[in-house]
Amino acid sequence: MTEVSEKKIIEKVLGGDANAFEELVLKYEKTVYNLALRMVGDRDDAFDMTQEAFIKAYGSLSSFRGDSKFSVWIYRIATNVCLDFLRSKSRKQQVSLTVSDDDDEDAQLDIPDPSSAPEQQLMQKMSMQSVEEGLKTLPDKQRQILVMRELGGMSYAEIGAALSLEEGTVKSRIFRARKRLCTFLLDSGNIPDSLASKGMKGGGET
Amino acid sequence: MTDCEKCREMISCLIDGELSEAEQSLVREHIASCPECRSVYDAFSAVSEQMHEEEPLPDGLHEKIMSGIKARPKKKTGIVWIKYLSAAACLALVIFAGIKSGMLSPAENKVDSNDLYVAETLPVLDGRFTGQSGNGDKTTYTLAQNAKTRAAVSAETAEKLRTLLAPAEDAHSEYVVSGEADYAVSFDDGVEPDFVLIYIDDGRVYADYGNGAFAAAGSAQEIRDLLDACAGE
Ligand SMILES: [Zn+2]
Repeated sequence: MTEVSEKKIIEKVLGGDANAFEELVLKYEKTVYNLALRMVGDRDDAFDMTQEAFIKAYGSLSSFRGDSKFSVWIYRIATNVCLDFLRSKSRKQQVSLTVSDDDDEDAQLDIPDPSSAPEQQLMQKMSMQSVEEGLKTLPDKQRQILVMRELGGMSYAEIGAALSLEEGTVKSRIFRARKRLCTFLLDSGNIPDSLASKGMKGGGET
Repeated sequence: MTDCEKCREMISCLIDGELSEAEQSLVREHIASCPECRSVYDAFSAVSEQMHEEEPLPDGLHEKIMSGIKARPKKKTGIVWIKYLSAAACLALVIFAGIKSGMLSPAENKVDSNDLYVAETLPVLDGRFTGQSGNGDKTTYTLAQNAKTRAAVSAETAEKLRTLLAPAEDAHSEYVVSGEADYAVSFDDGVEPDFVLIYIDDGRVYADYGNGAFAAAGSAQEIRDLLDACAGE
């Protein structure tokens, strides 16, 4: 599907043909799901976040600007949905003072508090699991940008435009995220010895 | 290149395909002769590869998404916001300024566009709106170049937004407004002031409640995140 045909689909949807939206869902759902999974670290939550992201995108399709790609737009919505979810979750965990919310999604389960990383099993090989654990230890902003870059395939310029950040900020945030992630994996024995290095220990403090 | 830390940041860029050819060869030269940076490169690459491994879509998710789209939930009370986006075409936009104060208690407010009307002329908008016309309870404004979205959100979100739009500690002299507002937000929960224009410029946020724009406490990202989170509601 080209950008042009995506625009055509969007016009159709806005013109009242809701079924046309399914093509966009089919194209992006897998990536959005994986992006959500890396953001929230739990399959059930990622499932819900994926649904929510598409519903939001559908509901606000009229605000989609033709001057960025649809992919950029949907990934940004998805990461924001996840961030909101994580924030509301941490709020709920701190105080059980939930603002009454008439509908849905109150039966949420627990993501471990990212700041108290769970006991780390020593694995010889880096696994998807361990990368996910590591991602949970990153500050939200770093994780969001790294996920947009790695899973969304967005360039620094696209991320910068989507989040109103200077490209330099995007660059250094991705770098810090990687350092931190590698430091975590190294400390928890998840980076094979051959990759473990003084080099990584050196700069990973941020 | 002698600065290893600098090189490592460039390694990160290299993995992301963000380096020029000249920069690439600089980095490659350095990692060929520096084992530490070499292993940083290997580790970054390994993590990157790992992150790219996608899981298949869980069973039932596609159907769940589609059924969710077909049965979009109705939303609650709170604020109405209107987002101005650049678009080539001119279009007419009805501004819903809110439910007549006193008619309903905030808790009973229902945001339904048919019930909304423009309570008053908003002088602050002069100059940015190219025309307006009355039609019963509604005033239609013609905007220079806009698209719109509206959302009704929770009172909690409205509160959060007001906090972000409070004057910054270092709020400096009046911001000279140029161009269109990035967002216009109209609050219908009965709390004054109930309308604000938001300008985002160079990463800073400026709010104009009708008495001139000032630098706001919240960051551009916080504002955008919040309003974008409302977008689908
Ligand atoms: Zn080096």
